[in-house]
Amino acid sequence: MREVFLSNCEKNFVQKTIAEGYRLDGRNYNECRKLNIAFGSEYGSCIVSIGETKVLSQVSCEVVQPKQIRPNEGLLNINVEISPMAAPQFEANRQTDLTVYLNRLLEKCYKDSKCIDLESLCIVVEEKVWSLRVDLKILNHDGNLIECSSIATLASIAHFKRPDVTRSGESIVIHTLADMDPIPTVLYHYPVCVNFAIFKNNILISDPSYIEETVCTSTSEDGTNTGGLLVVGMNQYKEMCLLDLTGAAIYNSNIVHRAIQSAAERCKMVVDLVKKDIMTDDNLRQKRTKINFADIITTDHAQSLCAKDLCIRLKNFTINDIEMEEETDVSKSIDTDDNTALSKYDVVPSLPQTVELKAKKGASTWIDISSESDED
Amino acid sequence: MKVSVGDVVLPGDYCEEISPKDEKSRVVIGPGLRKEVDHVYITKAGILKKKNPHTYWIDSYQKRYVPIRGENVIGIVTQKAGDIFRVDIGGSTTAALSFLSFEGATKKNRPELQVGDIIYAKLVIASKDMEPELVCVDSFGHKGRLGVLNDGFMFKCPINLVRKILNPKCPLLDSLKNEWPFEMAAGMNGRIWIKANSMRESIALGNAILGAEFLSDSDIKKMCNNIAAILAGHVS
Amino acid sequence: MQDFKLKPMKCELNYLSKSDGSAILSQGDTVVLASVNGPMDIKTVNQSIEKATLEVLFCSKEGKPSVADRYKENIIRHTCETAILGCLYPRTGITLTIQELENYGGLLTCAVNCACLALINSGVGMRHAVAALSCCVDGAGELVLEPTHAQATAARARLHFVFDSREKSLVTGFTEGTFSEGTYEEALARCRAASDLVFAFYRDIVSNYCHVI
Repeated sequence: MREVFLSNCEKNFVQKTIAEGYRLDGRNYNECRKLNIAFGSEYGSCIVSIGETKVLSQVSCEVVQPKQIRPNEGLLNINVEISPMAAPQFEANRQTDLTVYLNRLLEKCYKDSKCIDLESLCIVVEEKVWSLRVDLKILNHDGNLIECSSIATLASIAHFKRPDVTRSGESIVIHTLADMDPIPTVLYHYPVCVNFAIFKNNILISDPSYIEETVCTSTSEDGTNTGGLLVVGMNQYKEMCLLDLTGAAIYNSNIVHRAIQSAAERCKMVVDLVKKDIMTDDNLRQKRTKINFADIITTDHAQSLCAKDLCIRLKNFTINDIEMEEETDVSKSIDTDDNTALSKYDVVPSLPQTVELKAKKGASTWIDISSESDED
Repeated sequence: MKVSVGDVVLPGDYCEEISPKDEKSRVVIGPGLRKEVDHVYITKAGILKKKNPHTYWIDSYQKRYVPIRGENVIGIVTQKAGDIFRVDIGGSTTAALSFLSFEGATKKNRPELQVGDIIYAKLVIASKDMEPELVCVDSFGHKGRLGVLNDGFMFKCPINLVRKILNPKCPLLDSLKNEWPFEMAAGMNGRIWIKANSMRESIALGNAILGAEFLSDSDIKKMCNNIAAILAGHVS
Repeated sequence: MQDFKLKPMKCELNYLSKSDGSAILSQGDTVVLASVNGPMDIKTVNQSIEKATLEVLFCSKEGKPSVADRYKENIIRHTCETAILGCLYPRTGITLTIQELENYGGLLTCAVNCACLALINSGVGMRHAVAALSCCVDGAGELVLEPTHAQATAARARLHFVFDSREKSLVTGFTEGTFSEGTYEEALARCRAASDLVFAFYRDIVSNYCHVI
């Protein structure tokens, strides 16, 4: 993994804004970014996005032999992959600490919490069981990967349906999806991991962005550790199934209590949304509406990023009131955007038929803007 | 495909207009254009622009910085190695900044720079085959506006946005500078440093800059007024 | 040109905020997401003193990485290497990551087109754009341009071509199945003519945003 450098000024600024009660993107301390779940055409595939953080999840199943110690239980595997797509600092085909950490957290949250009825995945005791495999691909890493990938896992498992199986004597028939309606996975409860960042003076921040995460996990100048991440795994009945403490949370039980309370609300909200989205998706599928990832492509604006939240934003700023007029303006404003020439090169015809580039001597023509010219 | 000035161009297009009319005339080709045997070909997608008499370039969208000589950039000091600092400027390799290329620096009198500080510096060497080199002085030995940037906040943005706001015709800075006092340094490597009296004003400034990316000139003015109103507390 | 009908294409550039360039493209029901990072630092072993090293990573939607993925990576790498002006960025690396989202036939052509759009978005210097098209020979020996999933699986042969935007010359060609020389020539000619549509689509996408940047 390549190193990402965090400058002191970014660190100080973020800490100061949070101490003063603001966040860079204009949210309140306990406010989360927009959560969106998009389902693909197959059962068990979805893209979950929290703000700009995006995770793709796909559940697949196959028939395998069960483990000898649990002959009547199916298997569940969670596999997280972070490719260079997530952010430039990640390298291809290389496991990082983050991958292992994410994998372990999700296993704790979904495997060890026994939320899935693994016994229902059994076909023939000691011979054949279903093995579910959850593949998580991190598409864009803009902070709070834990929460995003946990919601992705939950949504795709809850959305997934496996082919039906019938036994006639010794032989087992696996029906195709067209033959027989597939069976949904049985979930006893819906756990979700909620992530908090801790800042100085025990300030607790939900849904930290990338820069907030890096700032709170970096060591402060005087060496004391006042920040850190805190992960709470909880289901919709406010039952905890996971707690992961780093940094300041270890010394301070007060923070943990506050986090748990705040997590309970968030979990309820997330689980309700997941259930509601799966319901709407199911209804659409029954009406034979085509559902495809192509639906997430929108073409009504110039580039995908411009319609979304800015990473630095005032609390009350909305782009909507200007956007309305922009759409009509785009067609007209073709010629208005006239850049000045940036003549950094001279082309000198040294020989006939050829030209060569020579950097102009002296300073460039880029305009310097600094304190003197701007402070009125 | 054959294109002319003002068109939307794709890599591989060529422009017949760009060619010296006679042996003495000079043609200047900027970023996104490349001279090959028969024609000048386009290498980036965007709009072909021309400035009279014979300067051509492409306005394109870009996030990753490729060092260009003479540009002012903002970098983060990542390492002190012997008598140079290694500075991350967002390019493919770190740039070198000598201890001596500061105003009044001597072997004894070294500049005080810590790892993690950010500096505003000029690229004096930027070749594809060599490590880029930075200086914090001009050719007379004065620091001018270059040097360490204290406090404030630095954020990243696409390079075309930096070009857009530095364009003298862009109304963004003109509208903002009357609203509240601030300092700003724009690095051509897609990093902007801002500083204002309060955190809230800094955030408002960052908001205005990032918000301007896809807006036309008249919309930018509206947005600035909008932000100023929010900042003054007129809009709840 | 009117005779050709391609599957409906939909594209969004800069879908991912952290990548230097990214594109999500749907051709019919097949959807692919591509991201480009670079030119940036890579390991010394992989550096080339003459040109940028292009690393391509193809991620399928589920399961472990397979040989089929490596095969696709190879095709995409060879295609994009000709398109990129690597000599402008020696000793650096450009990483191209492609993620399959939906596969309903024509995955590879969609991946090549999506990769090209992501490269265009990233602002990497390119010699030319590329457009990939596919054709298949059905049971009766008739040529079908841009076949549907069902048509492609039932076909006797499948031919895929990638063209450059300068002279519409062939950059990459790969085939499966048996066919005659004449069929090959005809398929090539048809795909070449249809590639204009793909390039026109690229231009539309770029013109969406480039007037306001």
